Amino acid sequence: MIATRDKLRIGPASVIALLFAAALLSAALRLSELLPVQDWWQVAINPDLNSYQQVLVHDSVLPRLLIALVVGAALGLSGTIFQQVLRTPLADPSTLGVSGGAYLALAMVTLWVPALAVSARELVALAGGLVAFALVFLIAWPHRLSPVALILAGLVVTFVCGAVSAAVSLSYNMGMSGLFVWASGSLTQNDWSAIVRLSPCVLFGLIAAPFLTRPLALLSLNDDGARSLGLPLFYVRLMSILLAVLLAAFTVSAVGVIGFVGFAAPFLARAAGARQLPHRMLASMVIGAILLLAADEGLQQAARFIREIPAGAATGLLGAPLIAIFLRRMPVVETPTSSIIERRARHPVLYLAATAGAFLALIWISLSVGPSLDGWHFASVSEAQLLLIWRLPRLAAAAAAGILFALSGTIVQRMTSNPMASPEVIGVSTGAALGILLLVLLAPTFTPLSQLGAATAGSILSLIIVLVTGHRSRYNPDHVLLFGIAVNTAFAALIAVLLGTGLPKVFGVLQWMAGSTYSTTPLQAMIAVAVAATMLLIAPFFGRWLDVLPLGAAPSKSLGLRLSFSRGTLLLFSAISAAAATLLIGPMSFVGLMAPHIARTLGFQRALTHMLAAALVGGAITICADFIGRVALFPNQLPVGVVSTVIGGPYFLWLMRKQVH
Amino acid sequence: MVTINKMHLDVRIRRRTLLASLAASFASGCSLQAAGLPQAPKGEAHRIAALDWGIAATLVALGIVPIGVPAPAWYARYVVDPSLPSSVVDVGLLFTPNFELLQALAPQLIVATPALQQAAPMLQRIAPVYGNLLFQPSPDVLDIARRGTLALADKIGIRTAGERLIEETHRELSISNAKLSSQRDRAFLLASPLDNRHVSLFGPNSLYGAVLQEIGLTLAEPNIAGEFNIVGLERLGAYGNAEMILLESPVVPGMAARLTENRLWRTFPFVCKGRLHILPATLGSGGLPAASRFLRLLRLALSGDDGRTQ
Repeated sequence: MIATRDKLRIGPASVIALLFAAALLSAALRLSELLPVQDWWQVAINPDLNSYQQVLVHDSVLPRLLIALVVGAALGLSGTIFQQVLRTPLADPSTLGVSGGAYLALAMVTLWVPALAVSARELVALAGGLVAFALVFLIAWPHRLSPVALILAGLVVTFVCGAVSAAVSLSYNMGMSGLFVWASGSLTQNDWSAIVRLSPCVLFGLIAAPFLTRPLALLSLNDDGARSLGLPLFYVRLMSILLAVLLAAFTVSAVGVIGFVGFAAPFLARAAGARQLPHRMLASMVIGAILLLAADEGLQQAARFIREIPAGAATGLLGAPLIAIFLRRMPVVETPTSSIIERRARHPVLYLAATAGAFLALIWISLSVGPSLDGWHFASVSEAQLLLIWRLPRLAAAAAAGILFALSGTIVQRMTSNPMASPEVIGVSTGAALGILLLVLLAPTFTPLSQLGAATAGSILSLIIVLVTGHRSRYNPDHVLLFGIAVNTAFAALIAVLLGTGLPKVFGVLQWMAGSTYSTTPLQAMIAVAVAATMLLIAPFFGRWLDVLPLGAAPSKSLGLRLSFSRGTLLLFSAISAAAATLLIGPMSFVGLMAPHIARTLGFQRALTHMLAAALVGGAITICADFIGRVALFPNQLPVGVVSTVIGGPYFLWLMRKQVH
Repeated sequence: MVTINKMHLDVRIRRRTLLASLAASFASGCSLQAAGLPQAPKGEAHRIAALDWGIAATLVALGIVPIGVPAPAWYARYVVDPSLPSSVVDVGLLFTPNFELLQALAPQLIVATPALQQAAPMLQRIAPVYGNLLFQPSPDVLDIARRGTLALADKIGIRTAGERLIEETHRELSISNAKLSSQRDRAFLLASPLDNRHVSLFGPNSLYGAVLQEIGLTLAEPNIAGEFNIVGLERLGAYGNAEMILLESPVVPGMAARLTENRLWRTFPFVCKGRLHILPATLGSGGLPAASRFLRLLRLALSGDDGRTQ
């Protein structure tokens, strides 16, 4: 419909068609360089096994063309189903933990059972992906597989898998290249095995999907509406998700992580005018296939001049701007969000004091206890003074980062009324990570100061992108999140490309990426604490805004709030906090997601006490994480970012379970 | 919990062996003492913590056993030769050596790579840090390794041992040069499998490439800027006349042999004409000891003689 209304504009449909034509042309060009046109058919059907050229075309070039189409279609279909079931355009096939689980399984097997990684790579990845999803499924089960429960559980499982993988990768140092290549989604083929494994799965999806379209279409109503139409809601969700997860898990196991296609294809399908679910499914499959084929062809053409970039990383880079372009045309709808009602603390000051007391006790324990060459040791006050130089700076930096992430997370969550929002989601942490990674790779030498500069530049750049693109929608929460995820995915893809280069310098950066306060000097620790204290002092001034904004746009306006100004300022504050925290403990921001939640569950509802309590909780989490990371695998040390994710994840899930009853 | 307990037992055992080995090296350290370490108390062996496997290997080749090395178990897998005695204390992970543990070991000198630059301010509080030693592959990797080895030997005050190690490496190079002179007319590919679809293709800036060129052999793919490029397996068939030196990867053991199951791989000229040589793993950032190890393995593969006779 859109296409007929404005014929003069280049619509998404024509862009896709153009991409397809270009990809076909490129493929034909490459083939003709290898073989004369009259031989194509014979080579495809029956290659001469003694001719390298013929086997190359038959066993490598053709499977690669096909796998791009099959994987793209599978991701497109999987993404459409996910978005429909989870009722959010933010969902993609990696949302429910499949990619994270597959990655973790491969990392662990490569480390501990390398022989298995050699002989059954695909099976390991498939099993990992399915186990991770099973976990998500079990967590969301008591919630009757509600969309929010599924997304939250998926997010947490993905985070935890990512953290454990990072810890595993760090302990195994230089053997990471293979894993990075896998994670950046290379479509390189040298036989037909991937096609043979994947095609039946996609075919099954194609046959099963039509049976699900009618009940799935009704799912776009809310739960009550769907139920009143007599829909066995639970089973529809179950079957659809199983289908989508199978598709995602098989693609991940076959070619690794292909970013963005499963997210972008359904989005583009809608932008191109497909409205009804069957149309959207079909269009998403076609668009997904074309996107991936075009990306891969583009990369192979580019490989004539530069070193080849894996397709998965490239689709992220290619897809992000596309989303941004089409998002500009989406109408801005201010939807009122239902606030989550919790019990309210009767004596917030008392509760705050108790939390602060626990916080201080944690600091004391962490400074005194630790293993040494002779076993565990509880240091007396005088002994502790000698150890202070090793234990205090990293503890202080960890605590500061926890507080900063918690503040940032509280603001983002209250402002967007979105329990899934966190500093990482709006892309700031990833921006900082990218800044440091580029500095380390491009500059001959680097100092802590220039790293600080690079990280700040990166986070500010990503912040500016979010701010500029969000301006038109007056920082509409959904739009900010969508842009944030787009920025995030693009940056994450770039990071994957850089890691995939296998340069030895990169391995040093990994340590930081996993969130280590390990080498913090006393001076750096003091600066970190000063920054956290400053932010804590500023935060109370935002109390009223944060009490009012969650009520929605109209009530906020009628209460005299300037929407753009207040949202922009809050965004800036939360981005600076997140950037500072990222500098300290890396881009893992699970604390920013977790601390505000825990604080609210403890009964802190008003913005001011909520922020302060979240800050204390955030600090306590990172202090615990620092302690555990220091002592658990002595003499090896785990980065605080990894540990906080690993301990925070299960706790978060336990909270989720409690909310059911 | 079990693993933690085991770990502690492990640490305690190592502590005991450490003391025993200290006594042992006290006795054997007398010869080294002649070279004289300026800041060392008389009569004590060199107490050096080596925070990188290439540095540790170089130290062992220089006749000094480091007191602490990160993840010695991984050293055994990646470096293989020269092996570390079991007395060496595990000081943690490669990029995060444990400060408290290092301080307990009381080293006189900490030798690190620039990768630990960030930790240097904290390491300085434990002992003087010699931190610009880098055996990472780069242009002139062999020259850098020679200079680095000599500088390290100078720093410890054992210049003669450094010169001897350089001389030994030089001897390995000239033996190989003579033994493999018949291979001059061929071009060599250097690769290592990453998984069943990708390989790292090494260039002249890798230790392996530099060694090959130093003994007068030709690289089939000289246009690789870094240490290696990651390429799809299918690309390798394009090198029609090349000899393939396929280095086993300690990360995916046995993968090199498994590639023969692939039909495309079997059509590659170097596979069907029998010009494929599979070599055990060698650490590319292992300095001169790694270069020597690679040369011996190369001679064994190409001429059936590793020249260990002398």
